[in-house]
Amino acid sequence: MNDFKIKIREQSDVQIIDLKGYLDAHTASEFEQTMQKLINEKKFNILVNCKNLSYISSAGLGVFMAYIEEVRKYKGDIKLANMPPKIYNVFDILGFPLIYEIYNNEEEALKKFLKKS
Amino acid sequence: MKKLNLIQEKTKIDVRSLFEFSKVVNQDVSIEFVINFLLLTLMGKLVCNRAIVFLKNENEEFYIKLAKGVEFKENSPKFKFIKNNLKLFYTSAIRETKNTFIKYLKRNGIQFVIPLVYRSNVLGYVGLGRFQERRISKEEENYLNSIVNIAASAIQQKSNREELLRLNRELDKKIHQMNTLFDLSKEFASILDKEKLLKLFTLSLMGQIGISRYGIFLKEKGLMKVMSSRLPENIDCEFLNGICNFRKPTLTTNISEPSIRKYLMKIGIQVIVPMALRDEVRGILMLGEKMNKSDYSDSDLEFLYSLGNVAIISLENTRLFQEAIEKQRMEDELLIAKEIQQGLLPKSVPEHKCLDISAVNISSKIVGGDYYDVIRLTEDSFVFAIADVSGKGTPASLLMASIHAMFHTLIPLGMPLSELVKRMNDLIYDNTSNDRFITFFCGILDVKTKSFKYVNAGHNLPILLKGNGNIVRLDKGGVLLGIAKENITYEEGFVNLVSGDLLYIFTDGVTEAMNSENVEFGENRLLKILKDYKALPSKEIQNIIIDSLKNYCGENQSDDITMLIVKIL
Repeated sequence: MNDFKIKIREQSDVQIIDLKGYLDAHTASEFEQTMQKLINEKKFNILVNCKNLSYISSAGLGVFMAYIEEVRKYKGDIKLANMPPKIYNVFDILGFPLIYEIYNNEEEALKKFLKKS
Repeated sequence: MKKLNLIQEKTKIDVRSLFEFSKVVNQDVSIEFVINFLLLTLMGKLVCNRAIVFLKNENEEFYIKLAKGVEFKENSPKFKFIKNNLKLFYTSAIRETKNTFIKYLKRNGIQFVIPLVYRSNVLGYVGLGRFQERRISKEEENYLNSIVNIAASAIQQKSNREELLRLNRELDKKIHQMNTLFDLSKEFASILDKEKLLKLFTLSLMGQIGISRYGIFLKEKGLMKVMSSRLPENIDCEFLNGICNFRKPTLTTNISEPSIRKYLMKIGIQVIVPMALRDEVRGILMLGEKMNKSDYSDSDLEFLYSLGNVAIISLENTRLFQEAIEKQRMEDELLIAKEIQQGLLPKSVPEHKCLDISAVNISSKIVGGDYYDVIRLTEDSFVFAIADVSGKGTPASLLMASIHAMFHTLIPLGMPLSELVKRMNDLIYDNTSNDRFITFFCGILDVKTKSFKYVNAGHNLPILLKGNGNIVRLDKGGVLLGIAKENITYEEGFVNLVSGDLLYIFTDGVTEAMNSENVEFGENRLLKILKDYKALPSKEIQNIIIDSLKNYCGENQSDDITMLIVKIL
């Protein structure tokens, strides 16, 4: 269950977070720390790649909610990409597609970030 | 013949058109598509420049779903059912001038209306208008009825499917909520740290409901306190106490008390959720607007209520756990204090061939405020001291330690006892608050001359039981230590002791010990024991007194008990 990994890449001023494994009650705090760190460093363009995410609990979703307002206040955004259908279903059930932009792949999401800047 | 051919030809076209229409609308298309296609087909076929469709909502009202050639806005008017009309009718044929629906239709140039009927149930209306007001032919009417019937059945079918999809989605959401609740109950139960628990609780709350503004308040010592908040302003504690009477999750808009409703709306709270433990509201959750702007559903409220109750149980558990740890830590510290205090009391009493001495101290709490001492000054002289600090437990024990330090510092200086006690009084007066007193007794016994000099500073009178059975009380001295400094002097008392005399020095814990009927043990019982058993060794007399006290009071010793017995052999 503790199989959870976070990696951060940077591409054209966008921080790409790769999430892998189970984002649940135990691992949410790790993800939260990662987000907090990016925000402390004033990096507000955040793209979360969910390709290898196998599970997300409500606490994991809560991390997205905890930072979205602040990020947008600084004209940044949290966008999501490469969501497996199972993960998308959870986002969809809870009405998240109305709050977050979700893209099929990283390139599309990156394009949106670039367009804005 | 030519005319007949024409009619046949036209009927053929009509049938083909109906067939095409039926084929298209029964495919996997939306209600919107069906209606749009219906209007376009009708407008083309019947040469209409105005077309409108009303559909029925859940309140049995008809709203404009789509219009062509007629202006309509999102918030267009809603109308009531037109009675008795399951068939095509002309708006001009209806004389009722008050009917707003008809008025609306006439105003917008709708000349005739066909109800969308599925199994005698009116789903909506199709209204049409032509350039020139001309009635429609029999063929046109047949065609119109057929196509509208096909459309009605397609709309019903699709709305059934949409309803099914909606229900499915609701069910999915419910299952997800149940899973979340189940997972969180498990997680909560395994967390004993309050901060960690609150973190998980708040993250899950934000994630599950899709909010970023919330406040969690918990009752501590009878008052609501903020535990975690992402609200724009601090919420007044009294306000929170005022909303503790909500038993169920409540939408702000449903709160009847205007001042509460207005305040919550001002700070953007949409729901308050009580968190109850054994029927008592122990906490409150306040939630702001959902970020996807949707309203809180009944199912959201149910989820929040359950989540809140699961959380409050776990929060209560963390509190109890922390308290238990804290208590354990204090007990550990007290045990160390007890060891230190026991170290201040004599580990054993000195021995002398002409004396039989024993002493004991039993604290009612782990540490106590009684003090006694037996110090050998020379081979043949001994100091005896006893003190009782007002109060019990830790505060009294601290003062007891000071008395010990003072006494041990002053005794080697060899000053008269009256001066020694005066100095102790002044020190205590200068260094403690006014509400702290100490009763103190000390005396020096010279075994060679059998003389006993003493000072009694307000202590309950020690008993000198003479060999012949007479009783002398040692009452010379002065007031208790620590109440005043000016004009305070102490007088020294003096008694001669002979073989067979017994000196009993004690604190009021002995005589004031209470039984279950709140009657004190008293001096008479004590004196009787002393008289009856004075021939026994001091240690045995001591044990008899302790046993009698235990028998008398049972297990509830309320004060520290200290006694010192000196027998002259």
